[in-house]
Amino acid sequence: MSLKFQLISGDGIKFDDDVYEVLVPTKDGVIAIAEDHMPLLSAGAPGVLSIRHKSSDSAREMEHFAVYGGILQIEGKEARFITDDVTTSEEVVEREAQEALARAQKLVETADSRQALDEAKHVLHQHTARLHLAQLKKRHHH
Amino acid sequence: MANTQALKRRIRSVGNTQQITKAMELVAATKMRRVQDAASKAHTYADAAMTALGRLSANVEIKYNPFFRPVGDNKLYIIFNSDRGLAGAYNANIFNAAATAFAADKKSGTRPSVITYGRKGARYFARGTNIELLGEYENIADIPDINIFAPVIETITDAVMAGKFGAIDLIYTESLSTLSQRVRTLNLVPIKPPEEVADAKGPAEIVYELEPNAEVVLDSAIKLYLQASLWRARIEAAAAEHAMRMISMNNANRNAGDLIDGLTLELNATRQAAITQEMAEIISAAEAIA
Repeated sequence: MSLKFQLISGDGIKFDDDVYEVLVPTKDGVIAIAEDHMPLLSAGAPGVLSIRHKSSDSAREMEHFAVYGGILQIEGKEARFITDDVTTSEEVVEREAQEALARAQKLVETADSRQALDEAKHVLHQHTARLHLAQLKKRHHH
Repeated sequence: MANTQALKRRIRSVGNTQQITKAMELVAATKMRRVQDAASKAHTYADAAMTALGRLSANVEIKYNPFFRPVGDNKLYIIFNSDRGLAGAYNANIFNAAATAFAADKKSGTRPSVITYGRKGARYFARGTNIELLGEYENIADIPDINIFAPVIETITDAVMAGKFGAIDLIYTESLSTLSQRVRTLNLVPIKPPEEVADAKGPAEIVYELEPNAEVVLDSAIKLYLQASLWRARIEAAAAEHAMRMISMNNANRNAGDLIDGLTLELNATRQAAITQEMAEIISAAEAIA
């Protein structure tokens, strides 16, 4: 029982391996995909993408990435998530992520045009995903 | 007879120039290698984005999507050039390609709009009388932050949805190899999804579930496609720029070497002539005394 999963970003292929299950953030909420999922194209949302390598893996052993929207494409035993940018859990520090999130919140509050507000919200979603990733990492280290 | 002092000075000055061109060649080579690596990654990303869009090509939704059937009369060019010169014909080739395209537009009565990345292009296209310069971006990193294209994507999306542009082209330079670059014109809009290859379990036969709905998935796929295409064009253009600068600096370096060789020969001949002259004078003077 395995699914070939690829995570592709502007910085190349970030993950490419056989996995048991992947939790993907989409516009309809987080969905779990495993082998022989029906063919699907889904609009991704900013959030944390989690990979369970083996069925026996606990939540602690899952691998996490922050993604910022994109497209999930599933066909047969293969699935790929294509997104512009991916952050690995090694790349985030909780305190920095928290500060960045606070700055993003301020941007949303002080936005003075529709466009500025959209951009600020986009940044806010990105930093929320990063902070979530940082918190998961911290939880698993303790 | 040339002055040996002046010759020595010239040799020194050409030598200094050679040192500079040599350093610039090394810098360009280092940057090029770094960007080439990123370019191949950007390729993978752009191909994946295109495949995702291709999977939607059978969907009825695209028949009415303005990105596939744009209605505007105008044409937008997004042109990647450089901030700095000394890269051979890098910018000149791009401007020629753009001028050819503009000339074709003029015949068909289309008014070209331009968004340019690079200082050289901003200056060049600002002079054009028949062009609408919509935006200019300077000092873009070789491998920029991916969000850098957000404003342009928004401009494109708004304009296409409003029926302003009938076509959007990207003009940039791509590397065929380290020694060979060519200007590429890529039709970004109308979107032409790749032909599906119908193999045994060809994707054309697969019926995809679209979540949350076809419209949202299509919007996401188009955004990804625009972002990936721009990202790839930027990195390819940077790789080509450094490759061309490396080649032109290598040529300059060689020319300087040739110049120094020639000048050194001339210097030696001049010095020898001076010695011969002095000897002749001494001999004739000695003969006159004897």
